[in-house]
Amino acid sequence: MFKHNGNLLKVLACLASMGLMVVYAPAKANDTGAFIGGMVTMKVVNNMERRTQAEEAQAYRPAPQPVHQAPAQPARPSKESQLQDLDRLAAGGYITPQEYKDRRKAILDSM
Amino acid sequence: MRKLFSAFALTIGALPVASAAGIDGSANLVCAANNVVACSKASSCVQGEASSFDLPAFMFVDFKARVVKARTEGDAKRIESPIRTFEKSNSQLILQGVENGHGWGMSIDQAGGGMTTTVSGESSSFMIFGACTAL
Repeated sequence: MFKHNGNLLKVLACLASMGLMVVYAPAKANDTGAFIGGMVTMKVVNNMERRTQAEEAQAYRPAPQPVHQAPAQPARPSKESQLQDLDRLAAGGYITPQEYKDRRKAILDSM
Repeated sequence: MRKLFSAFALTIGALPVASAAGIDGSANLVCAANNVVACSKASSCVQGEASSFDLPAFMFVDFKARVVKARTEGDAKRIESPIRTFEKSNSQLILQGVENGHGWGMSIDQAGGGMTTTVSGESSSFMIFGACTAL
């Protein structure tokens, strides 16, 4: 009877150890990560997506617009130069004395 | 004395054989990735140096354990890919595997050590070009 129980114990111990192995095996498998189809693929695909997005952003970025500067306003002649011009026109006979007086008065009134 | 000499001669004779173990599947390999070309279904292809893709500098081919792995023995976490098929053609070692829904194939030139690895999945595929040498 004792011997029979001893064999039973051995069988039970064997089954128990097999159970432990079954429990242990998945834990060991989890310690092994996928390499080519896992880590390498993930890094390449992620990197490819980043590069593609960066290229698309670069492609769709609006071209820098040239800075438009307002055309330079022609410098308004000073009153002095207007009077000098008027003098030259009068001296050259291009305007009559009356015109000279009217224009001169207009220039001086606008001051 | 004769036995000692014989043992010495055998040792010396074996050395060149051991050091000459080339890229024939008898010795494990270490491979360095140089360039990557990656394509996806949604966009065009991109390419660049392997380092710019953050790939590990070296891959190890363990023919005895039939795995391609990233790290040497002793690391806490193993990162490896089981080799499903291994064949030798006239000039190439051809390794193939399946992992996470991706099929991969590695072709290694026995003479020069040039290595090309292709990985293809549902929507993306990429190639790794590099070189291997025997350990």
